[in-house]
Amino acid sequence: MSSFKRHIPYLPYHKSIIREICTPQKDDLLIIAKGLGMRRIICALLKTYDRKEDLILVVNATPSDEAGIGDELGIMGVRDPGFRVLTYEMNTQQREDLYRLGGIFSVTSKILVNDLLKGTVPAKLITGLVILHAEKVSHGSQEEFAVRLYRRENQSGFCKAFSDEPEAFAHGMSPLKDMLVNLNMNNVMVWPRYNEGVKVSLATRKAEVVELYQPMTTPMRLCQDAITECMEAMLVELKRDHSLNLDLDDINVRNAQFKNFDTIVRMRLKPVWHKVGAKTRIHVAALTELRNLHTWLLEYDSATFASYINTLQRQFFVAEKLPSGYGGRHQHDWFNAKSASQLVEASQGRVSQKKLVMDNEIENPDQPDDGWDSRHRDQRSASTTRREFEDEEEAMRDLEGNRGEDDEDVMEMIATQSQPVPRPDSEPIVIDDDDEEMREVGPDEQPLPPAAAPPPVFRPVNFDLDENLEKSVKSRMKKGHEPVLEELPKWALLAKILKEIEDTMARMQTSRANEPGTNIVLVMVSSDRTALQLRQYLTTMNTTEEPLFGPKAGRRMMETLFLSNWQHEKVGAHFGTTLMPGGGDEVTKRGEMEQKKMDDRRMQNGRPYYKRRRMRGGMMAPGIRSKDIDASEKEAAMKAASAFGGGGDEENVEMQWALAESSVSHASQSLMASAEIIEEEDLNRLSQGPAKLSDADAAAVDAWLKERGIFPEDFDTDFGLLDPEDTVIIRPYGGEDDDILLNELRPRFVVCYEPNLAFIRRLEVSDRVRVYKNCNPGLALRVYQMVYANSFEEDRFLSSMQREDDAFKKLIDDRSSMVIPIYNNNPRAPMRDNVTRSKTTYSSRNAGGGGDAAEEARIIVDIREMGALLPSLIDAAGIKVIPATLTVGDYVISPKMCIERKSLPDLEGSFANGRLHTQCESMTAHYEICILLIEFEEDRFSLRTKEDSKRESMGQNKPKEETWDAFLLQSKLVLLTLHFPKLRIIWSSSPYESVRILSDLKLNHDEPDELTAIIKGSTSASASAAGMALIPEMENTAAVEMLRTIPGVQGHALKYVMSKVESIGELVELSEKELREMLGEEQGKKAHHFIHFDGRRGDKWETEERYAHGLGIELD
Amino acid sequence: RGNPVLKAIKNVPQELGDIPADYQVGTHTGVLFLSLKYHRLHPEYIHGRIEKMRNIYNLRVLIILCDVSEHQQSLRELTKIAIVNNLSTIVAWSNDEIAQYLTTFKQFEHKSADTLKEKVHQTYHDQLQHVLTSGKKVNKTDAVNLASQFGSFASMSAKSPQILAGVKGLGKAKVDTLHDAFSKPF
Repeated sequence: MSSFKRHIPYLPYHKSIIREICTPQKDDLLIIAKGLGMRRIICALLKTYDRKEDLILVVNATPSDEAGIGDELGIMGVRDPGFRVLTYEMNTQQREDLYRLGGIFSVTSKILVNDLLKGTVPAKLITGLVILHAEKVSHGSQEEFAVRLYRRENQSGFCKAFSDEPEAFAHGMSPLKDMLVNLNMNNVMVWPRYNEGVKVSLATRKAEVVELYQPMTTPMRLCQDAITECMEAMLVELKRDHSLNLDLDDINVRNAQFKNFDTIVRMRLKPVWHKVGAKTRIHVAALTELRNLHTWLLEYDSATFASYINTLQRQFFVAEKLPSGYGGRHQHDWFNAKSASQLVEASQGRVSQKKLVMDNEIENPDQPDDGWDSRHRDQRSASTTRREFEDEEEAMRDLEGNRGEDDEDVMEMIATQSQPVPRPDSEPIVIDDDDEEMREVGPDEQPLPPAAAPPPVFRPVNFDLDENLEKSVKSRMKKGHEPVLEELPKWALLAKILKEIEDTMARMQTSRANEPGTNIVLVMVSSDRTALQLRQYLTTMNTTEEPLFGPKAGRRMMETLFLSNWQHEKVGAHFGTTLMPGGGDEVTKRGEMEQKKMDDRRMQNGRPYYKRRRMRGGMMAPGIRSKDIDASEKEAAMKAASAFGGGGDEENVEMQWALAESSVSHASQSLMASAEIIEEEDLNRLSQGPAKLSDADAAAVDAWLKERGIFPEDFDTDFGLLDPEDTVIIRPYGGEDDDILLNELRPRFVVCYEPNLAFIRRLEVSDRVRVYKNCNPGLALRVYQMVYANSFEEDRFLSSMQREDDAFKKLIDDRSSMVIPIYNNNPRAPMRDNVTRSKTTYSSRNAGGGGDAAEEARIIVDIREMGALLPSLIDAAGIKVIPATLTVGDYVISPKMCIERKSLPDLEGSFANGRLHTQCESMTAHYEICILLIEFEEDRFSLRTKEDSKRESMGQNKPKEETWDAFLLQSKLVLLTLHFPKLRIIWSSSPYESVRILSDLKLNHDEPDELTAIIKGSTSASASAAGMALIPEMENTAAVEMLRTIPGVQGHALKYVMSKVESIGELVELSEKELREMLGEEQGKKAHHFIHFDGRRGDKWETEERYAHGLGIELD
Repeated sequence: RGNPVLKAIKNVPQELGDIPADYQVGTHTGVLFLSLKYHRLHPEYIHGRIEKMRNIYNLRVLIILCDVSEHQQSLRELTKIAIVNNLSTIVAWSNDEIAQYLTTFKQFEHKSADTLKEKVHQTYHDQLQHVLTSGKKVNKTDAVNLASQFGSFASMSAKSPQILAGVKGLGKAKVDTLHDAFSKPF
């Protein structure tokens, strides 16, 4: 093993876990603390079974797990044929062939269940089943079903489950026992961080950890408090609504810091969830939303945050205006809370502030006195008309406001808050400014391919002078406001840390000569977004200003961010206004202008992301493979070196040490040169070029102090002369992948921008591994950890540690006291199988089909239904389940009987979107007896009634309002029975009950035939597809759902479209003609129109008449 | 018949008559009423009633008042009886609820099925929201933000996950859902 360069040795505790888990005679569940290297244990297990004759199935792996395990196994020498992933894109035949050949496969539980039922998988030959993310397995889940099917056929293979989320096992009555029963296991291993073995392995040496507590700024604190208060208000509301039937008293906002606070509330409400009104549901959703806001407050820059709040608020106002009696009315209800306005104010306050000037003084104070005026005088006329439109729209809105007298205040608020009113005259100028910009940039940009075009600064519009940037920001501010554009305090802190690290490095330069490990500074952040944000900040940071890293260093970035957000918001508000009647015309014009700008901006927006993608691509490519690419890269590197002209490189290095002390002009020159030549390699630096050009005085940006998301191997080949050690790498936390990263980079300095428990453990482990390996004992790791003091972030970090501790304690307790049933003295005998099975089905088959039970009892189940609990229970009850792709119905129990199963939420949903009507239509057309099975959950056998809503609205002074949704479901049901007198309804109190009813109904009826069931309902249009449908295929439900909602694609067309195009992406690319051919004239047009309609352009959306026309055809 | 249900019926005129069903709510609709309590005492009763009203009504409804806690066994029986005899069953939990059902049956007698059919969204904005929120995780706010950033459906569906992640309010889970829906094959 050690012959592979990248392989990392195991620590003693790893070894003991592996030794224990690799026994094929036992089925184990391993629960391990986060960050202790679970993936490596899994890989070690898999490697043991890397033989041709073994068939190992890995279930429940996420795509990143699959990639990571694949890589790791590759490194460990499992290459032929290696780790393979089975997807629903393969057909049954392909899968079957692969299974027969053996090897290690990753397969989703859904496919596995299907294959087990169909016999595609040779169940008897499976050597073992490995289940990842065991915490997600629940009773009735696909995994449980799979394990049961597997055990029925095969009792010699092993079954191992893994989980690194002990918290998940801390809820409920006896979570651990339930889990073991679900997985048919009887042994559990628990490895907390404080396990003796782990402690001994890790505790010998400690990394140097610097914890930095950054206080939040006052407005931020205000925001945070306001959010918390909003949450409290929501809770009070909930408590009031449910005080009579629920005890919610012990839920408080302190709990809110947990990730699953809203799930706690949901759990509490669960017994009555089916009875609560839409209002309560929305309130619970609001809690989730508010919790997200907490995180985003710390993560987003002030401009983005404020604009997000604005969007929400706008939606709230729109919802507010809806007539009562409509479900959406309570959306974002928390804006009613008093503190919500504080939140809005505070978030706005971080962006702009009231200027302390007299009102009449601000009349065009930034009337351009440079060249602008004359240059754009000719466009003045146009701009005045624009202004008129602007005013008109505003006036109209005021009018609207007066009309609804109650809403007056609200409307006013919209006018002022949701749409920052531009100052007269300044707006057109800004637009000109943009157009001008576009004209200038245009010729350079268009002809070049995207990779080669010099991309401008990151997100923002490219302004040629800093002042212009500032000015355009100002012009977009509200009247009489001046920009504040607060930066996140952590940015400056990070900059300071980096500076400190550099100083340290400089000091240590001489002494570190022979030490292994690199000087790479690794900055770990929580998301891609933050990574991007920081990169932007560091590259555009203004370092000339005094004091260094002052709060204004990121001004430029904030300004540009503000602008782009302002833009989006405008468009968003625009959507809101189009709802108003008569707004069409001016909207169109304005839309056109904005579209132009947007295009411009989007082009620039797209670019930085594009870069990012490239860099990430570089990251993904494992170092081993880089040799292949070497050749081409070296070439480019040569070019680059020559371009720098000898000394260029050293100068740049120097620049980094001295933080932009070298002369500005020189820097930009060399950068320009590099920009021209090494476009391919370093898009990142490219961006630097135009930035320098555009604002010469801010160009003291430390050019090399920026993110290089490339592995050192790659880096070396790129720039042979440059030291790979002088880079700063910003990366989001990547779960198990971080292990590899750390071992690749061996950074000496790590900055945790946000605290992350698992990552700290990983650091410990990897540090320890190095020591253990005895190859670089001298490497002193220094970790900086940044936390906002007294913030939500800090709370969450501490409580997550606490919760993990508690969970482990509970687990250990549980383990010592639990009782697990073992059947027939065989721990591997299937636990939940019904005993009757052997009598009804198997015995009859074994007896050669004597008597009248010539045929095995069977039920055909639609493949989309397989995710439900019922199929699994039917199977357990001894009836054979046959998965098939059904066009009509969910279950076919006899040639004449067809059942559509709806759980309560399903029922509501399909009533709302009309699908139930279509389903009933097709069912009654094809089957004699059509049954709607309404399935309740256990102990919740009732519907929401008047009493419930009365109880909820008790204690509120608006008694009449809440009754609208009380009888909604029932009345729809009545209507359904009136329209489908042939439809029978089964009311089943639980899935278990459903099974009994179904098997009762089946008695004395013939067994259904799979083929006829499939063909039924597939009309002539998809007749050709019928042959295809015989092979049950999995589908991408998200995509199908989305496709269904696209206008023009309905009913039978859906299947047809699916057989014609691969994905939505492909559908979107079709021309109007192709769409028409596929969907028919009217529908095709509709679909095309929808797909390519751009709301910002303000095209006229064809509504009423044409639509009604289209609909008429469809209904025929 | 001194039925508590009758007292609870409002909004609809009623008259007593000699009909095979318990209630006749329309020209073609007859409703049988059965309390589970009663059914347990006299399980044969319902057969007799069904026999009587055979073939008179187009839609025959059996409303079951679920007033016992051990309802599974009897409900199962009744379900079977209903399916064999072409009755639509409705289960209610209180007399009030039954009354409400009866009233709605009457009121909806001539109502069209439009409310059950798929809603057509009038404005582009609604439509787009509807499409984007078809996935579980994406909400309306996200839809607005997406629309304002990318414009048309065509342009947003062509974006890479990294770009989608740049939209405010979209976390990893949402981006994954969207991207899967946009670009993975059906």
